[in-house]
Amino acid sequence: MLAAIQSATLLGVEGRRVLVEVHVSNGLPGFTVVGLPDAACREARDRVRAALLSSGLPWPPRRVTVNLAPSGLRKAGSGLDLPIAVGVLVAVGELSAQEVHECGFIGELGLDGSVRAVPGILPLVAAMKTDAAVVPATAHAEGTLVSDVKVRAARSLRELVEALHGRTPWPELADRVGPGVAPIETGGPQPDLADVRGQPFARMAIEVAAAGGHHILLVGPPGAGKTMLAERLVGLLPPLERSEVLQTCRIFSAAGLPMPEAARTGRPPFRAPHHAASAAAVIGGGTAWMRPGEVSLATNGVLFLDELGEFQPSVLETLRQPLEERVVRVARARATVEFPASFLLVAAMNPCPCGGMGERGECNCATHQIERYRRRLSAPLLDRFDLHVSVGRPTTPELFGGAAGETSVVVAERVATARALSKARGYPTSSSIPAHCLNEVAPLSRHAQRLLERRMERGDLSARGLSRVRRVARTLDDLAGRAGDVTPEAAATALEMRAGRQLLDSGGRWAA
Amino acid sequence: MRPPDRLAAAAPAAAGVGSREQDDTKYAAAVAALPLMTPQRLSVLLHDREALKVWQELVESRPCVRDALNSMRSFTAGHGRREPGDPRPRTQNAAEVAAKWAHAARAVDVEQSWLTLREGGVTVLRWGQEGYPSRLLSDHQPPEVIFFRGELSVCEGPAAAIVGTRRATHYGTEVAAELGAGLAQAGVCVISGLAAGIDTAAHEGALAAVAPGSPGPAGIVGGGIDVYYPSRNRHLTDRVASAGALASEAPLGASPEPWRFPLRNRIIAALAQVVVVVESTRSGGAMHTVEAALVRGREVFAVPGSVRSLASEGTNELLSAGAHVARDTGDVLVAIDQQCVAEGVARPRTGKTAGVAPGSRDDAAPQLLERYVAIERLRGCSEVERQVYAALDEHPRPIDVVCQRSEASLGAAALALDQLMTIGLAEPTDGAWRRL
Repeated sequence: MLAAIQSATLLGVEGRRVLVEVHVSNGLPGFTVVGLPDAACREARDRVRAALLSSGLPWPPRRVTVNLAPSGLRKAGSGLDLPIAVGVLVAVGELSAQEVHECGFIGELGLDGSVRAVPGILPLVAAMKTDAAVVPATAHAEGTLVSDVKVRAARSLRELVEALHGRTPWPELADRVGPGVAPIETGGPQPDLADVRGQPFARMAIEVAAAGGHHILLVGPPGAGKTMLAERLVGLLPPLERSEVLQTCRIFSAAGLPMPEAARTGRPPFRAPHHAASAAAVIGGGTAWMRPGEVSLATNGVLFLDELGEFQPSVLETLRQPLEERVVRVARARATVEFPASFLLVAAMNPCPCGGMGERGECNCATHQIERYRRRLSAPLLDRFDLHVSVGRPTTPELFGGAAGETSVVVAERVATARALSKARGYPTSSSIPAHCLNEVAPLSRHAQRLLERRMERGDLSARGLSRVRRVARTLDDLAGRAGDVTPEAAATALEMRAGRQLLDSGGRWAA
Repeated sequence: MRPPDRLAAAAPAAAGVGSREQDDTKYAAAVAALPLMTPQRLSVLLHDREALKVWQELVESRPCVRDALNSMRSFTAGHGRREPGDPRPRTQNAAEVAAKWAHAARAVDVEQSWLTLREGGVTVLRWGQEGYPSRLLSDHQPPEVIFFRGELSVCEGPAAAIVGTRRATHYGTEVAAELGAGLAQAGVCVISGLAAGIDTAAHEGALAAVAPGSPGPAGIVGGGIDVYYPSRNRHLTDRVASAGALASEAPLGASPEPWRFPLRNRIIAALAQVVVVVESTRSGGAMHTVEAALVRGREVFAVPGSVRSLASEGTNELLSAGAHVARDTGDVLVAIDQQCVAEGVARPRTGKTAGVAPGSRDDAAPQLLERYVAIERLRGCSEVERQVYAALDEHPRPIDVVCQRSEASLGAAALALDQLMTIGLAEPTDGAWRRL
């Protein structure tokens, strides 16, 4: 009369074990679910009953009580339909407790008894810590990413019962493609850096950003190729390691998205939310279901914010914490959830609302419009970009006759070498060197130090900017294969790569 | 209709002759501060009349108010714009305006507003009173009432207006600041409008260079003198007010509405002996100042600019139409000097010979020498540094342009630029580089 089934519920990007206890007793026929179910979870009553009946399975005309333990944890979503149904079947003796021992269940039930996918299969399977797990067939591929669990697919409740009895074999979904199985997302051919004509400086900056993990802001008129450059940055990053792939897949799974290409090729994710995105969409959140936002989906990859100046200022300010701490803590009345948010930020914007400001002074904006546009970006946010690069329009000869630049493959090799150098020093990238370790990890040569001192005395460089310039200089030397102290060339170039900041601050135009 | 008690309360207390003039100013200020008041309306109401009487007429909405309004002519008619100076010219007839004035005037406590003005350090002058600028006194469209802070007497001696576009290029702001500094050094009062761009640069330049005992700059603004526009010029505005004068014909709190600016420009043109346009587009507000200056027979100077620059289109056109060329302070000082002789006021300090001022061509010799020394130093520089120097010009250029022109690698160019900066041959400006 009593059954206990293993399952899990989603909290942020992590799964939490849930024990579904079903008790069937004498009394007036009824069906109660206790243990803090949310609305979708409470509706399981009607779905489970209909699914059992339409699958030709028995429904006890007695009092059924379901407890979701631990009862203090809020359970969200419909993933507990399947364990509740299995629990009822065990409690009425249709299945034996032996048959479901050490096996977890996740899935939503249709009224016809079919088993449907829910978000977060990957973290849920990982959280159950059982020997075997039964998941909806459409999410089977996702579940199999957890290596030490036997993941079984269920298409319908009837089929599941037969398989548990051992009367029919489990459905074979080895190819993991075909109708009803969500394929891993396939990106088309990746854009290559060789497509970018001209722009030697901006190309270099993109390379530095990839090698050192430096956040980069590209400022330039429309048509300068800012978006093109940003899209090619992800192709320069080294493929993800196994643990990073799992983390990325777990986040995508928790967001209810198809598995990213990273699952197959290890290609880092690239997220480009539109500038109308809300704060919840960017950093994550929600009420019942705490969904990871774009900053988390971009974890281990690139977050590209095109038209940075058009984003809501309040949304941009929420980026400051994840940029600093590499996690997002979303607090709601019921729970606080921590999402990973370790991404490379690439942003692009026009120098003014009309975009015409630049070398010829073709801007038609009123001064106050330009000021308002720039005020949207706070100094603390701008400070978090190591690279501020102004991108000019390529000239006509560059567009037509210009030789193609280096391909992504060539540049990616240099990036990988630079990253390896940094790893050998004990930091994944130079951007993660803490300020107090700079003297040890990136000591300045005498000439370089004098150069930076001069620029600080002139007021071109602040104390906060100094450590950023030193990290960028370290990356530049790593890329050029120059070991030892930071060279003056690298220091001077690193300063130039911040020069776009002055342009934004002064509101100046370069030339008549 | 008229509330006698309020009128009685507002009536001036019997006092000496000095306070009689003060009472007149008090009421003139109150008339000027009425809603829907414009400089033209103020002029027809107040010119050569006793302000207290006018105030009573307004409060009682007498027919003479309507008659005066109907006889009004625009100050700036014929400029092709919608008649400026009158916020809603066609939708309001004289009777409506008079009724609104009467209503507003009855709610005003004249003594209290006067106290507020005094406490704010604001001085009010009526046309014809002692201290009213003599160049405005003889103008054909003088402001009837002037609100100001500081010393308005700075505009009595040699004075030059420096005006131009709010969207100035780097070149423009730099030239404006140089001219402002040069003129201020020569003892000339620099008059401008405290707007963004050229005006700001001219005021900054003048403030930096003004010697003790010399007249400080004068800022003539479109809105009230307590309204900072643009708001980031707050500090500059206060500095101009304390070093020289900050004046407006608009009452306190008047917002800088677009129609006020062409009118403000006529005051700038009238107060100055010469008008220098540093940069202006073909249809910029500075062109209003030029027009007002020409009407008043003031000399107009224009700073030549690049033929490719939109910001110099207007000034270049002025030059081709016969305006004087302002290459440096000296060019402008010659005209000011002549004008001062003609007016019989103190002449600017012009160095050894008339027309040549410090900071002008005579002074260029040491600069040339300095440059020569720098170029000598370039001889000791590396090949790359010389090539990078050759790739620079007087306009700030982003580093990729420098790399492209000099065919140097990024690191080498960055290092060379730093070296050139150290020996004083190049300068980073707004995220780009230019030759010094």
